[in-house]
Amino acid sequence: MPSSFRWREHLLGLFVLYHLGAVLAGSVPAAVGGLSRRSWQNPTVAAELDAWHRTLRELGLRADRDAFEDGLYKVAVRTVRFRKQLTTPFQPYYTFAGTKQDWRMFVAPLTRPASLRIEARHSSDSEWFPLYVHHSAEHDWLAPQLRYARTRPVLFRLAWPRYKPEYRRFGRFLSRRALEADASLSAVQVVWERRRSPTPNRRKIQPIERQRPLVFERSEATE
Amino acid sequence: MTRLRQWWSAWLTVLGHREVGTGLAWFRMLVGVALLWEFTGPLVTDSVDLLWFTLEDGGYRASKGPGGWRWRPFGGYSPTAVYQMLAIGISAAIGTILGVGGRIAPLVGLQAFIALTRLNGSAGGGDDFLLSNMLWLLVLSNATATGSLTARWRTGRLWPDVSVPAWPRYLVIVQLVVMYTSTGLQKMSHHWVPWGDQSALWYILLQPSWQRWPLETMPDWAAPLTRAATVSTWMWELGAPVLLLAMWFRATARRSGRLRTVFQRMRVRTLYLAFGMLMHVGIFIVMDVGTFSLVSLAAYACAFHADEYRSITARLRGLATDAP
Repeated sequence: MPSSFRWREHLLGLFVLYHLGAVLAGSVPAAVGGLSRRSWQNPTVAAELDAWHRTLRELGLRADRDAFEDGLYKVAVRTVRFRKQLTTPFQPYYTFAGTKQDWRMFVAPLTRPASLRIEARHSSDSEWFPLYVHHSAEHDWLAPQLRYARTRPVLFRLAWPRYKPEYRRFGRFLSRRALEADASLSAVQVVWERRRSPTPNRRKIQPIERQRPLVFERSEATE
Repeated sequence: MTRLRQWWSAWLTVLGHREVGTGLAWFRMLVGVALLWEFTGPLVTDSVDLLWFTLEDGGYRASKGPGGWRWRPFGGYSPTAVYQMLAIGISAAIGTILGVGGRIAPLVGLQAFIALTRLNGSAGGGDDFLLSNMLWLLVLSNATATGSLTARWRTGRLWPDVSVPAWPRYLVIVQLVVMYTSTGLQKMSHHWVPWGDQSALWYILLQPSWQRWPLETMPDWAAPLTRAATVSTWMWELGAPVLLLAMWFRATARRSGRLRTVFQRMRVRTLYLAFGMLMHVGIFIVMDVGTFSLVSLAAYACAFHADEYRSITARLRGLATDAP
C-alpha cells in the first residue's frame, strides 16, 4: 500500500456515493401506500383511471377499462416491490439520518374535497348546532389547532376510507375536548362535508353533501 | 481498471473542492428558522396533545410502545417527554441559527424533529422529509465556519473567509433537484399533464385542507392562469436536472461547447431559480403547507458560489456609498 494512500478521502468518496445511492433509490416513483383496490374506487382515483384509459385507447390500447385497471395494478405492485428491494440497503440510513425520499406531493388533486364540521347538542331531543366549520369565523371552536399547518394533513388524510379507525379516535378526541369544555353539552358529532369543486369551465358552487356523522354521547366520549 | 481509477480520482478531486462557506451559512440560518418554526408552532397553537399524545394521555393517536430509541433517554414516550423533546429541539434550532455547537446543533435538532414527527405519521408530509434531509446535510457540512457566532469567537469577524469543503453544498442542490424531479414524475394525473385538462392547480387551490384563506370558486380570469401555471410547474419540476447542468456549465465556464455557451448566455440557472422562487412565494401566499417553501428557498442559497455573494455584497456597499 503506498504511503500516500489517503484513507479519509477514499472513505468520504464511498460515503457520498452511498448517500447519493440512498437519495436516488428512495426517489424512484412508486405507488407506495396506494395499493388498496378499495381506494382505487374512490371517485377521484376512478376518474383518473378513466382519463388515462381514454388517452391510451386513443393511442392504440385495446384493453377494456377493467383489464386496464388490473394491468395497472400489477405494474403498481411490481414497482413498489422493485423500489422496496432497491431501498433495503439504505433503510438504516433513512431511519437514522432522516433521508427518506417520499416526494408524492399533490400528485392528483381532489375534485370532491372534504371539510370537517363539528356539531353539538344539549339534550337528545334538541337541535345540533355547529361548533367548528372549516374556515368559518363564526364557528371557530378549536380553530387554532384544527387550522394549524401540521393538523391540516391529518384532516386531509382522515377523510379517506382507509383511515377510518384513526378518524374514529380523532372524533372521540374532539368530542371529549368539547364535552369537557362545556358541561351543558350532551353529545358531539363530527362529520365530513364534501362538495364537488367548481370546474374551470363551470364555476357554479355545488351543494354540500354530508357524510354519515360520528356521534359521541357524553357517557361514551368521556369514559 | 485504469478508467475506473481515473474516474475515482476525478470523483475525489470534486469532493476535495474547497470554498468560502457563505452559501452554506445562509442555508444553515434559514433551515434553523424553519426548524424553530416547526418546534414552536405546536406550542403557540396549543396543538401538542392533538398531534402527539396517545388516547390515554388526552390525544388521539393509538398507543404504540415507547416510541423508539430516541425516547429512551426520557424513559420512553410520555407527555412530559414530548415537552422535553420540544425544549431540546428549540435549543438546537436556536443553536443552528446562531451557528453555535457546530454540527451537534443540527444533529440534535434533526433527531428531536424525527422523534416527534414519527409519533404521528398522519400529521406531516413532504415538508417534513425536506426539512430532515436538509438538516442532515447541515450535519455533514461545516456550515458554521462563517456567518456564525462561532466564527466571530474564533476570528473576531462574523463573516471570515474560511474555506470549507464544497461537496455538502453540491449535495443540497442534488437533493433539491431529486425532490423536484421525483415529485414531477409522480404528477401523472390527467389534471397535471399537458395533454390532460391542465386543471390541477385550479382544484388544488380550491381544496379547503391547504387554503390559507377560504375560496369557494375562482373568477373567470383565473382559469387560463391556473392552466398555464399547471403546465409550467409540471415542466419546471421535471426539468430540474437542467439546474445541475447549468451549475456544472457555470463551474466549468472556461471549457468550450455550444450548449455551455447557450446556457451561459440565457442565464439558465438564474431563470430556473427565479421561476422556483416565484412558485414557492406563490405557494406560501395562498396555501398553508408548513415550512415547505421556506426550506426549499433555503436550499437556493446553495446555488450560489461564495464569489457571487462577495460581488453582491460589494455592489450593495457601492450603492450605499453612492447614495446621497
